[in-house]
Amino acid sequence: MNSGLITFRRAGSYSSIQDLGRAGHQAVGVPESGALNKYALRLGNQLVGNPEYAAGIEICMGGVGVEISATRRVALTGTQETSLVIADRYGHQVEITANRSITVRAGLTIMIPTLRDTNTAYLCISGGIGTPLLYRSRSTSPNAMIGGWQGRLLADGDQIPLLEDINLSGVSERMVFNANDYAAKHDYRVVLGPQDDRFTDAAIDTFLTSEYRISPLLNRMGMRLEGEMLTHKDNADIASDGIVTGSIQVPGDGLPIILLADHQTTGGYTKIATVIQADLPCLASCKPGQSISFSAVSVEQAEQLAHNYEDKFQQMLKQMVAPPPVVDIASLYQLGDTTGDM
Amino acid sequence: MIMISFAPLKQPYDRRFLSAGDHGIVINMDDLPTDHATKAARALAHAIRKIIADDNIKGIEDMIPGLTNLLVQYNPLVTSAASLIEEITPLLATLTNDEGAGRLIHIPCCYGGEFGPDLLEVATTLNMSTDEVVKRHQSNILDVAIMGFLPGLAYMKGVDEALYLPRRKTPRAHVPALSLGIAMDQTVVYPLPSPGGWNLIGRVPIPLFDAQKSDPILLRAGDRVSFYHIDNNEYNKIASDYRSGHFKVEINP
Repeated sequence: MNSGLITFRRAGSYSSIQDLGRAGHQAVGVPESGALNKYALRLGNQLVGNPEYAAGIEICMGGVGVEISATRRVALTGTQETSLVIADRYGHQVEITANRSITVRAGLTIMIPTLRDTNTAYLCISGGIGTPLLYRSRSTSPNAMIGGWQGRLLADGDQIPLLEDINLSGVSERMVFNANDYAAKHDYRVVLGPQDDRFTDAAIDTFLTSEYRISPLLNRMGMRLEGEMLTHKDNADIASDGIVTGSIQVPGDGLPIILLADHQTTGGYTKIATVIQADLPCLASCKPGQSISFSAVSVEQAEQLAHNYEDKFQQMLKQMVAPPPVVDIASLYQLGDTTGDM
Repeated sequence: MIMISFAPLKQPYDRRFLSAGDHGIVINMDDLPTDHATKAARALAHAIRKIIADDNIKGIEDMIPGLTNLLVQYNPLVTSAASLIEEITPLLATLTNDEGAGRLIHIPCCYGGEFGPDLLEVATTLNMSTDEVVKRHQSNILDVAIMGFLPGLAYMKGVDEALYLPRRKTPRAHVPALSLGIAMDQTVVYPLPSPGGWNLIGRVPIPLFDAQKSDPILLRAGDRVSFYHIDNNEYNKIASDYRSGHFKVEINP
């Protein structure tokens, strides 16, 4: 049931509707897609009382302003330092820290300023985004032109349906104190393979010891890296095969590309290694120009790290508490009412 | 049901299981000739789907058959590479391809003109007439080896040997949707506008990916495809009939 709209006054340069993706159809070429930082999206949904798989807004770089036609709870996640700015039509503003939910009355404007500590953040809204499902997912894959809103990135003026919020009166606002740290880091752990045997020993050594810089050619499909070239034993071509998120593909020019959520389902270039699951959320925070390096772990170690990361997330959810009250901005200019009762 | 046989896998083979991080294992079959490996990968996916249905294997999120391997994508919170290898290994010993000959799908194509900007160049390079290229492209029934890259994109193999050509030296920045391209022994139809380096000899009037349909993808790996020539008028009529729901693609089971 459609019970509200979110209107994008400013959509930002690379915003899209994302959920946890549509794995299960890659054999017919349908990309998995989904949030670049699934943990941040899951947290955002938890904070506003949605199921973790609900669709939210993925925001890159920031600069987004929206208005919601119904009273909803919202939360910004994926960042520690950036705050939501809620404004009324008189220009009164309050800042709401990330990683907590806040009830926002119909007609107020919600702004996400420039993201400073990350490249990717999520705005979750109670009820969730209500665009049509494709293969049981609402994720946008702009390159395949499917999912989300008309298969494309969000644009200024878009009005997107929200699903009914059945919990609004039943679920309180929530916050977490120690949201998982998604800050971009320097060292990313990888498992070598599946085609590491196609590289010279020197190339593997170079890959694991040198610094790479994230090129400006960064999008949801992949992250191109600049740095030392990696030499193939013979050439970069393989019989086309499947790709997972985090695969590091090295085409003929010898420069690695980390394939992200919107990666093509199959490819014909050698893949030297794969970034481990526990390091994908931090990867979503990286900005162009940052330098990164790689270190190798075994599959067993990577699987253990995936468990540890999930355990930490579940611990954090257990410590979710009611946040301190926020002064209701409407009350700031209403005579005789400055109690801040939400 | 027709059984298609392929050479049995070598046992043991030390490069059988490769790693795609803590999210995927690759069951490698490059000890077989490529066309056999493609079928073996598909047969293994089929065998795994059966044990998933029987609830005898857990944690598999997706499977992507490649030309010479099968990628099994898994959730490391539910299973592990070690358990999957243990569960999949017995299936390799009894792998049979019982998918039959595949559906035969008849797809109309308007060759040449603005729809096939490379047809003349292809004909000149191959030293034959454009009519001959068109005739030869329709003469063979093609096999969908794998799907991938974009939703609905099929890599169709088995193009007449006389038409073997490399890809274009400089790929085009913009290939219109539904363009039909050839390179080596293969044909693709681009489901969406995209960059591409294949030799474009025609265009099809019906989408290969249609989000309006309950099953949006027309082709699947294992299908056989036969192209037939239509002129511009027929192209426009079929395209418009398809949109209004009056054109049905001919599919022989």
